[in-house]
Amino acid sequence: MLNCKQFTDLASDNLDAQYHGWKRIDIRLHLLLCRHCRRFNRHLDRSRRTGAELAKTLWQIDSASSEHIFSRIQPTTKQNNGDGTP
Amino acid sequence: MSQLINDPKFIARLQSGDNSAFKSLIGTYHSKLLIVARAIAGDVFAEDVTQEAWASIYKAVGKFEGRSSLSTWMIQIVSNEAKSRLRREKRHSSYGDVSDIGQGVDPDAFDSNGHWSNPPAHWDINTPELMLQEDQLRQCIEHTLTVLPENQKAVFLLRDVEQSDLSEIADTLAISQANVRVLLHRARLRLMTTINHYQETGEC
Repeated sequence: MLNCKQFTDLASDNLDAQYHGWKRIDIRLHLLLCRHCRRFNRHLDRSRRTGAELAKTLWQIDSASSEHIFSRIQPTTKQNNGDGTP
Repeated sequence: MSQLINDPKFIARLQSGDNSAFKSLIGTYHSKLLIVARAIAGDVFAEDVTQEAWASIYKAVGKFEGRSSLSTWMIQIVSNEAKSRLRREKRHSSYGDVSDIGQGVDPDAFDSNGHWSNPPAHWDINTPELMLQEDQLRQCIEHTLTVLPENQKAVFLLRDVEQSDLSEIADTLAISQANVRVLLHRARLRLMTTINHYQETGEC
């Protein structure tokens, strides 16, 4: 059976549902029995959700910067015949 | 805005050549595409690569067929531009490499049997909504997001913000899926450590 340290190493993958079969059962059993790891699991999940929510607004640029980048698209497009479309 | 940009009406505006819609797209996605470009091609080429990607997106958006979301399509374009830039410069990306430094939770938090000796403390501010209302905590998290190593930042962006699959992220960043998982774990742990510290001390 897992100990707490081993659970914390697997916690992120567990949030992404990367484990199946016995491994998943082992993790669930550990969480059932260990309130500290349940708290760790909750904290990790809330941290990623809070970070993601903030990143949506943090990783944006203002309209003047957008305007500047847009103004540089037109000449680039004329010079560059290839495109990187998948 | 991530949802708005995948709105068919917004896409129709882009496809009809509405430049104000395109500028709004740049405003929302430039930093994110830059993060992906940096993680693949490094800081030196990232700005150039992202500018080239915008030119490609501008030219090709009329042909966008909606087989993936618009954001996934744009991320794929910047990824292709970054990889092709690396090939032109005859360089190999080393930005996805994962070192062993600072991997997991502080080992002192556990006893010799691997059980908690210093278990996680209760958080008074307990939901993402409440955490984001707390100005100083918000600044602490912003700082952590800003100083994350580029490869962790890109993986966090693609998984937790853009909700991409792990295999798709590995392909986009040209790294192994195992490295994606390690980088993601580290990024989330850093965020958790920041929030935990604030909850315990009231400081970043």
